[in-house]
Amino acid sequence: MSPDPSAPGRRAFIASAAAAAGIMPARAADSFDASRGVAIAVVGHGDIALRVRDGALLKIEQLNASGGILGAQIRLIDRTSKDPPSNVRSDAISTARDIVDRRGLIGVIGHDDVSDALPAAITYYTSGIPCIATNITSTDLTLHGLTNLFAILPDNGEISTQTARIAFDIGLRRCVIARDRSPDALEISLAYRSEGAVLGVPVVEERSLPKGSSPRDFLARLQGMRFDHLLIIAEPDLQVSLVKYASELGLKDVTCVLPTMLNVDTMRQKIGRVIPRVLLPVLRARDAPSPTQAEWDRDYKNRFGEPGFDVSMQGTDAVGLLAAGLRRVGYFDLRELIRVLHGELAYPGVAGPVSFRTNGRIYTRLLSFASIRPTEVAYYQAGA
Amino acid sequence: MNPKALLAVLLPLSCAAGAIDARAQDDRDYMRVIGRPEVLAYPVAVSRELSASARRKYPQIEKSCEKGVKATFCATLRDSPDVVIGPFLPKDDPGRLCGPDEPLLALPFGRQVFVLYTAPGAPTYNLTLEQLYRAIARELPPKGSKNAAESGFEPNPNKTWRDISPDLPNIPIHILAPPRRALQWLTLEDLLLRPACFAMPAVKALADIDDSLAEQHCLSRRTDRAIEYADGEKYNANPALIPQGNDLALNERRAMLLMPGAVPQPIEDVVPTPESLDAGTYRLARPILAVVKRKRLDSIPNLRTFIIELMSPAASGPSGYLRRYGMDTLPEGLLGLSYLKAQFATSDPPKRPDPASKDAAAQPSAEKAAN
Repeated sequence: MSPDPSAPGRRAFIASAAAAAGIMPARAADSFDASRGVAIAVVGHGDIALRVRDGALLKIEQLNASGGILGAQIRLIDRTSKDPPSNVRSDAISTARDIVDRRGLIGVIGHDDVSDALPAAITYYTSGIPCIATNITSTDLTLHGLTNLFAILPDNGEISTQTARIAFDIGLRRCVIARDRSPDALEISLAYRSEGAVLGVPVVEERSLPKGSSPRDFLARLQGMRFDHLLIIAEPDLQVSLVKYASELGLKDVTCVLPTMLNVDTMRQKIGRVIPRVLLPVLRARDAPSPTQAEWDRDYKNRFGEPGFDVSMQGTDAVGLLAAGLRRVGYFDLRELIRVLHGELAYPGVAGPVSFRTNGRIYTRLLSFASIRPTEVAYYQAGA
Repeated sequence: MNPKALLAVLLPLSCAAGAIDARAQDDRDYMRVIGRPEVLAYPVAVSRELSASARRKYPQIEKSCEKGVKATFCATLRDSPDVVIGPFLPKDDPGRLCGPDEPLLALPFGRQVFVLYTAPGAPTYNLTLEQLYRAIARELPPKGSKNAAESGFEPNPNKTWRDISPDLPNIPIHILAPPRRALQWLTLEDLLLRPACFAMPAVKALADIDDSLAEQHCLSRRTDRAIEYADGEKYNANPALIPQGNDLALNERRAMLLMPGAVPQPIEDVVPTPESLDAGTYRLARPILAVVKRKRLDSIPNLRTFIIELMSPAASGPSGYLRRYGMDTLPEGLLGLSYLKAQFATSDPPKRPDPASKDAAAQPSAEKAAN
């Protein structure tokens, strides 16, 4: 039986208890030698990890060109790969054990899922290394009190809340929820209901079906109901199937809302020319980037020869906030860096401003939304 | 050390910490601001300024539409934002936004002003709001229609200004405007599109039957050559729109000031001057206020500092940094009053006289005295 990724386990428990007792291990300041440089590791698997790495590399090169961090040049420890290993969890732990011993390591960026980020973060914790998860939205990540763990994407509840608001703003008033039975889906659904209750958007029907259910089961007998948007909370493949099936059913006046961070191009390619409008959260409005994002785009294109991806901005911001935190501390002390990241950091990132809650989750990210129609993609800007 | 012994030592600590942690997640150490998207640039700029100058976390800045802002700000069953930034009109009485049980402090700090302007030498178009709307709308009720619910809408037939009114010059309509999906249009919807459109009898009749359908028609803008929308990226970098020949430009007032010699056009016979703006007679302008929950002024970290900075001359004054984000300044006296209120307002609301009391009429209003 595979372990439940959300279960903290003994190591996590001990780490949490140690954290509660204030026993935060620290890497001694004298273990850093500015003349020998410092290191940032990027870990993860798949295309997203590779793009996060590229974003991080861009920022590292920019920082090195301007003198590094506190006079120390930064080197990248690249532990990303295109293909996932056979056992993600044990691979994450062995990778973490390997990189924590590297000289001058000031932080780890990446990881793809709670199942590998959490056990690895415990290893980082025992060495006092901050870990920044760039693309994990599950609330489980920051539940266990690991003070060295930070997440720079809003959690599922926050994404769902912002999605409910944009749906309300564009005039959607009656919701049907179709979701799978995962804990994440339940959490998203509850957050949407909660915000809907405040705004006055009733959920007229909620259907949760087990894994493997057909889109027909989810959408049976919906034609006769009065609703204007369908909130689909499931794995991307099921989301695509449900959007397509809603189109087949002729729900042309219904907006399909997908409260998950997905790549717009990939999603558009997968759903094809469907009738309903599809609304999904994104990190930036591509048709009107902020001046910082436009500059980052130019730099990225000059460096890698292709337009920047949204997730690459996350890599850039992760490196940037480690550098900003250390500059604020003024010397190489990772325990102090973690305290600063929790308590006083305000970093104006490329994707948006970054500050963290006491549990290590970003609370400052205002999402944009992409509205996919058969012929065009329009964006609702974050607004600031 | 024996792992069991370690667990035995750490277990009570962990349990206690769990309870504390759950509470700690509710105890915010940052402030929350909510507002409509078109005004969020101001609190964002202020928070960046504050965080750059001292060790302060950013506030959480949220956005929603007018109804959503009110519902979220006034929610009582859970944690809600501390400040709302919005374009309130005096008739709205922002101080009573959440009812009598939530004492609020309403502080004006700036205004949004849109102008229609031309290059030097172009004719003067003294347009009414309706005429300007008729140049911009994608569809209009047919001429002579008394009820758009019956007659429907037709594509905007106006190609020249003379088509709109015989008093206007016989010149093709060509308006330079902010990008098609720019936030500036949200302000223009409130100041121009809705009031001008709903004032037409045919649309008013439709609105009585189906308000949302009327609004949908009213907010649609033409996409032919009559309006030239700026490119989003270029506009974000430089918001100046430069009209040539007989072109008109519709833009924020501060952006007009980037064009030397730009000639502001009157709307409804009123030219946007500091005097007409202060008098409130110019139609394409509205004040921006920060409405703060009084009870939280001294309990939420950085809330008072944020409000004081927002009201300060350095941010909202004539040469303040918020001008870069399109905000127009208030008269010095009004901003100064807001600044003083932000500094000295107490968490306790000023006592309102009990309307049932016999002495109420005789007593001077405590609130007026406090203000």
